[in-house]
Amino acid sequence: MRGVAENRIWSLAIAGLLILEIGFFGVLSPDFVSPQNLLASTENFLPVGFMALSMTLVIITGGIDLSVGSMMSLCGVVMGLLWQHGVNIWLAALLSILLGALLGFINGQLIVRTGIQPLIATLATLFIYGSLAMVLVGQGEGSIYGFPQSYLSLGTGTVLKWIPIQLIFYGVVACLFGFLLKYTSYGRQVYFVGNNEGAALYSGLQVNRVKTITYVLSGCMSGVAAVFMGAYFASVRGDMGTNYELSVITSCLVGGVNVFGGSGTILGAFLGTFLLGVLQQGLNMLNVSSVEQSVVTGAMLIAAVGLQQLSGLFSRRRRVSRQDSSSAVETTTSARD
Amino acid sequence: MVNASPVLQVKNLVKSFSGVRVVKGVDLTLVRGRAVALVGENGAGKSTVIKVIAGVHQPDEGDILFEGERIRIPTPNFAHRLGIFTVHQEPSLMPELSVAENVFMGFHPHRKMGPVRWLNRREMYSRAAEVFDRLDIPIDVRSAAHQLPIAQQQMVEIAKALIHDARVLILDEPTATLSQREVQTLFRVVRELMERGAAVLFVSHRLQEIFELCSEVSVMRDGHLVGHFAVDELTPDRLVSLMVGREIQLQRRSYERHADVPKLEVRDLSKKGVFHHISLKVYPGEIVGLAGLVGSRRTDVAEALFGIAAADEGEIWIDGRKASVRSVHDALNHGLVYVPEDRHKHGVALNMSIAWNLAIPNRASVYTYGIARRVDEWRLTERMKSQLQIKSRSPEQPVAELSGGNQQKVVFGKWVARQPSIMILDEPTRGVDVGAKSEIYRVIFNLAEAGVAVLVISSDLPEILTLCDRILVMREGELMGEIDGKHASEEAVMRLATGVGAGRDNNGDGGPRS
Amino acid sequence: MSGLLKRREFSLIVFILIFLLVMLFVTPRFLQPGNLINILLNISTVGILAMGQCLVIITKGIDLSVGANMGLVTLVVGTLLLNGVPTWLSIAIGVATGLVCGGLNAVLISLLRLPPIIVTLGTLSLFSGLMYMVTNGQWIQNLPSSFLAIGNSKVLGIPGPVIVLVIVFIVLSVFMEQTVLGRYIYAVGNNPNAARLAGLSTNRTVIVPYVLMGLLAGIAGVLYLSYNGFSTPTTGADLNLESIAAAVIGGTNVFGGRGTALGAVLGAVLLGVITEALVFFHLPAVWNDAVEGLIILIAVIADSGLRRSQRVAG
Repeated sequence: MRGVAENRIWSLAIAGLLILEIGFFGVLSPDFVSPQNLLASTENFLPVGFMALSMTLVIITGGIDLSVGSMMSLCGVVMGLLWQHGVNIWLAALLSILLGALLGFINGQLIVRTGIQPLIATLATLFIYGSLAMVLVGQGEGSIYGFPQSYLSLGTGTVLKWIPIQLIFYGVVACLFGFLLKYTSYGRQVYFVGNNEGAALYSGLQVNRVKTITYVLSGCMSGVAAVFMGAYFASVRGDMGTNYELSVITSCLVGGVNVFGGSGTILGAFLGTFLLGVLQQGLNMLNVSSVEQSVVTGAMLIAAVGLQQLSGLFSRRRRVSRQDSSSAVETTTSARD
Repeated sequence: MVNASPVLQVKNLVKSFSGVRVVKGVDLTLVRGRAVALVGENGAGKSTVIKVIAGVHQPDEGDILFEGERIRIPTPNFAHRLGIFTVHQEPSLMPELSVAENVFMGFHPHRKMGPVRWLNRREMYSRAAEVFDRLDIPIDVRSAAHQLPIAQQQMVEIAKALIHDARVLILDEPTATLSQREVQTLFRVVRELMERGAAVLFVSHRLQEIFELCSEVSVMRDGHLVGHFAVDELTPDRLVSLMVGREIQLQRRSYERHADVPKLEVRDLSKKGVFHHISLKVYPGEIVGLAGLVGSRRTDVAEALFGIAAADEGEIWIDGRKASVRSVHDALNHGLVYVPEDRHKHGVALNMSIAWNLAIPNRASVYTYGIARRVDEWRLTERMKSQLQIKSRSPEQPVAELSGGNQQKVVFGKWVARQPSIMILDEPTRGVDVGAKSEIYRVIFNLAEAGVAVLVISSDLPEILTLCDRILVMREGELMGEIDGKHASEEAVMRLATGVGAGRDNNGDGGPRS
Repeated sequence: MSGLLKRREFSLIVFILIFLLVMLFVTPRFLQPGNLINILLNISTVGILAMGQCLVIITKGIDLSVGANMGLVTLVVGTLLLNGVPTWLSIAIGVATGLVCGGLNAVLISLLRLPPIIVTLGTLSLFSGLMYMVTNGQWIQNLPSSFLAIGNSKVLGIPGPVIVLVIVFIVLSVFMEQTVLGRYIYAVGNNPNAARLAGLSTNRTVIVPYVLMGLLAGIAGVLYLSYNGFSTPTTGADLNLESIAAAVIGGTNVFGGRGTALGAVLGAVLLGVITEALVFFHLPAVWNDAVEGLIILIAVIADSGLRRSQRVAG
């Protein structure tokens, strides 16, 4: 597998950084690193975590999904509206996740059937879905709240006194994704397509189907993220997902998912999520505003991809260049190779 | 005639790739105002020689002399500046830019005002138009390159060399996409260049054209220079003999056809502009060869059979029943597999492990309930390893680290594992060392013995003669003839492949060839 | 080349005229001077940015950070003005800011060879963050009238910003069509390999679009602040999409190699006219993004349908 050794080193490095990070913030404020606080603080960034799991698959196949934040907004809003109109909250939540799958399916079909680059397609749907979310909730007051307590406990409830329910769900889903990617036929196909789409095609793989499923999963996870975020904040808004794509993609890249496709692990996505998440929580504690935090996130994104590029220069890797522009990123680099 | 001094000389050129010597001490002299042909079958080393001259590769040993001085040509750009231009088989223009601009790319006529270089469009258009006018080629220099048919795009490529007053013009199979009339126009251009003192190196297998344009011929075979001859001394027949003529040492097998019904039958398969009226049969246990040279379109036929790019007309019959093959999935369902020509692009995922390259295409049989377990993958890998003698450290080793021969065996392995009934092999031993070659031949023979119908596409004549029970020869998208394996010789195949003496050659009606 | 020009740009002009005529028929108020001026002012900003985006997309890149770049410029200029810095100096520093931001993108993309989408996604948040930091989240308003005069000026009845748009358009068109460097940009986007073989330095050539984009963001920022009179920490957020949409509608092909400044401006005009019309049809502003996203999809699909070569489905 491409850069198996590299991946392990990268994961170790990120894990190490994570520990350093916790230590750093712990020195500044011992309360921060108390188990209760750390665990509770994860609820802030687990929605990103859910989406990073599926984004990993998308990026491995050489694509990208910029619309995850908007899908989250739209799913959240739909869930809220359904509930407002009398649908049982759990059913509404389920339906919103299914909506996410549908939105992702639309993304996937757009990309595989028309040949538009994933970048452009998901940029367009980012705005289309995001706009729809605002439109739908605009008919209300901008946000929907007042959900039943049982639902809210998803977001804030804990098990065994300290462990957030969200974290448990995340753990389970992360394990499922990890299993999917590492131990199933589909996961293998994802790597194959990302490594050499031409060879995958000539080996009888259903490349289009493999790719579409990654986008469907991405949409699903956006729905899941919306459900949990809605529970945590006890409300859903039309803009709840705005700018989340930055954090999701950064989490993946920081976690070692190769921006050009072909390699990456769920473990990496998990570590990246937590590295970024804990950083954001720590900065919060230091009263750094959320806008300034996004600056840090942007810088981390560039740093991560820069490091990937550098480590690619040092390791002897044979990259099989892709034929056409099915990969958002590959195309845009080909002007300077 | 123009002063006959050498413009470019290559002495004792040696070049290897991955430890395999491709060019073994070749000398070449290009003289001002004269055209030298470089002939040899595929794999003889011709393209490597011209790539060295064009600055794409660096020689391992040997000298390059340009106008008497020893030089190095480190990059293609450097070669351009020296005046060495190459025209390839396919044009590579800037589609959205005008013809004139394509011709002047990198050398735009301009006026400098301070730091800004102002494009002198008028001059660009007029000079470009002048060139095409003089050559009597009706091209509107203002039109965008993508609007031109391929043949005219090729003219634009050559115009580049003309505009830059090329000193050395390398033509690498440039006429594959041209009709008879267009070839004449091309030659007219080339002759004009020669009159201006350019030296021409003409790589082609179209012997008729060689005799028309060139004054000398250098013949290569297996990386060696067989000899350098004046065109007057040769006949097309003699040339063909020089290109081939080896001792065939490898054992042939004896084959008796048992079946009545062909496993694979192709009836009148055509794809507009690519190949026409291809009909063939392959019986179970038979090895049929499909021979031909550059531009014969054999791979296109294979890809049509494998479901990559379906043909427009014709039928495919498998096991005596008409089959619809519109996707790779269909082909595989019918038991038809394809070992592709370009291993790196279509054969294997280089950065993935051997185990994965073997298992994932066979996922239906290797993975139970969709669960991928290493133990299942390794079992398959071990099986293929022993069956095909793949040499590797471990199943998890990336395929990129294997030798060419072993990589090819991995490609074979992934298909052999599903016990196909029809195998199409496209250049099965390209980039494979001698030892692995014979192992692969053994594998092919075993497969045939087991009843697989094998279609081998190869430009390697000894290989075709060794492996095949019957040999079909294609040329520029059409079937030229069939030769029985027992009575085949390299010359016979080459004759059909080049169209020499068989009555079908370049002298057509001037209509478009592609 | 002129034959090619006729195609897309011509049909855009026709489209625009038809649209305007329809609108005139439906609601005569649409072309009232006051309304028209509004549309023109908006178009001038988007048009300038779209031209820069066009250049970037031609080289097979993209710039997701333009809006934030421009917004940052408005805040920098505004802050300087409010602190008594002379108008001309504030403007100069503002434009320089845009240049620096563009330069940052250029360096990361061409020298470090990082993918444009990721880089500009990162710099987008960088610049957005800087926007907050420059003004501490405050709005910029109450600007000196000497500065506002620029935006509200009129020459022969045509608003000042529109004149600037026209000037920028002329300069860029000339650059792209008449200078060798401009042609190199097209070459790199058309066939990077052939370009390299012809001796072009693709790396150095790719720097130019992003730096120019930064410069244009600077100019657009100054204009925007000048005719709007205020700026907020979220100014420019919607301009990212609009600049891409305008360029794409204007015929800039996302696969690279094709696009013109005229097309970008016409795309901006069409986009401006359409969004204004939506307002007239009482479509809430929130629908704008969806409409623009849809337009991008339609334009790109139509373009790619024209260029579909062997596309093998899995």
